[in-house]
Amino acid sequence: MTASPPLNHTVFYHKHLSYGAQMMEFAGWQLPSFYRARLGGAIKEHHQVRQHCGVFDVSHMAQITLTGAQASTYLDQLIPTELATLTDHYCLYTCLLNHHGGIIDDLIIYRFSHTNFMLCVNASRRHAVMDWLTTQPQANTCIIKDVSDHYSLLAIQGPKSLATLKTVLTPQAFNQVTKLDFLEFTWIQVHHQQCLLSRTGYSGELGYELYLTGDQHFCEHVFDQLLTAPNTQPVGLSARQSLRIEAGFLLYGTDMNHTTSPHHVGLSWLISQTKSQFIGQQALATQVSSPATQPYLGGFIMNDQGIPRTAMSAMLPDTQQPLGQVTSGAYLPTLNQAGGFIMLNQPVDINTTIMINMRSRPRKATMVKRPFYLSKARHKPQII
Amino acid sequence: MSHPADLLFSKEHEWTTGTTDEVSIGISAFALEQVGDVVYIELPEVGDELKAGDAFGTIESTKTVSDLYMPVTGVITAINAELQSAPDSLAEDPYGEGWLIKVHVLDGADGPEDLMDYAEYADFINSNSPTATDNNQDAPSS
Repeated sequence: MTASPPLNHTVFYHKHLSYGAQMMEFAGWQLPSFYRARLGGAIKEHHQVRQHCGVFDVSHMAQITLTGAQASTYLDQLIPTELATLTDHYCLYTCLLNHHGGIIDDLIIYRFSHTNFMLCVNASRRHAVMDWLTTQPQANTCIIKDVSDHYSLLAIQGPKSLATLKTVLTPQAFNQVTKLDFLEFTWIQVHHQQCLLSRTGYSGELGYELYLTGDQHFCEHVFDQLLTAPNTQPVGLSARQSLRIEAGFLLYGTDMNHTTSPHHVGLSWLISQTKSQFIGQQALATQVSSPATQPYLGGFIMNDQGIPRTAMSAMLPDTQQPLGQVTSGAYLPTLNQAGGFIMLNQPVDINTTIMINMRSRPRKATMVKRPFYLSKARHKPQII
Repeated sequence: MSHPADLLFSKEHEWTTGTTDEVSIGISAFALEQVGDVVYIELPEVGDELKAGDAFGTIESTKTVSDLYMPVTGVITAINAELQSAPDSLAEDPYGEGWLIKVHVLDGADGPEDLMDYAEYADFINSNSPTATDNNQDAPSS
């Protein structure tokens, strides 16, 4: 019998328990599902983020730095997006592709300078990404380092997130943060510690991600302090799931993997049409020339009762023709309806009625556009 | 009704107010805590006749779907339709307003098996609960 490897703990593990978290396993980490002793459930936590502010422990996410005179040139050929459009102290959402155009991981690139980048990658892909980055031609032209252990990451998300951040910042640092654009980042002083703050997130709401340096005691103190802000609560992975589905965001390993290309999952906008060369370019071009045969990730909302779950099959109502499988699904509290994403094996128009097979009973759903929810404040300059 | 000490419990975590005549049936606070936020409740039709052990509906939470099982044999006389439109209220009063169905128990039908009083049920969940050790399950084993 092989024992599964022990789960990793973030520096906030004991804090989660003290805040009454129901813990769950995610990508090899033990993380809060929801906080029983705080809001008491995932649906309330979801509304908390949409209406006020929630603090998530996302320290399981991994960070890898690429540095050196050739870092920009090397990184550019690994992504389908134009890296040249990224300026200092801004973030870029993109993906790494294999030679078949399949997604190795979706990630966020932080540009400190043209010789210094940081990649924030999925916990489940930490080693795969590190392997890929260090084995491509010219990998030896830059220094590639896994720096995940240097950071503990908190996501502060919601329309009131700026006010929450105020609790841990000096007036001067706070002033700096109020000026942050969507996808901009900055170094800031949190007490006496130099930390990184980006205006990024996975909730579809105005929000920030705070990369804490420093020891466990310091990180715990910051977490506690953030939660003293008015209208601020810790939020777990269950709400993170429903928030990101509403916002139309994908989860690696569920909605996409190494066999799906950006075209398959609605990420064609990441692909530059003017770039001379990047890994996977030829394979993607072949897919574009035969779009009808390609799978496509669509969104749907349930009309009947029932929550769609991963791997449930879908079909057309009359002909019972199979359409594909649900990749992600959840009850979506802002919509007060269940919904999710489905990998379709054929084009299906928006507003088409489909059936999701739930426990041997087909239930009615409607194809809709992603995202299901769009926050007005997410991209705008923020005023408290 | 409404104090758990007055109820009988099944191993599937349903409760019943009794085993004869008219009874109310619901689900235990412990079970509700395990499933998390309840989003949908499916119940049978009034008039349906079901045997002890038969599934009479489902309770679906953000986490999972669970079948509901009859603790007695009988005919459904009422369903809590109000609860179906506000399933989150179930957790607020699982032994009172959170009743799911009312049943006329059929005389002479196969009796319910293994129903427990509240003290026995408390022992049962303590000895079968995974949650007591949940937070320690990943403790390094040397």
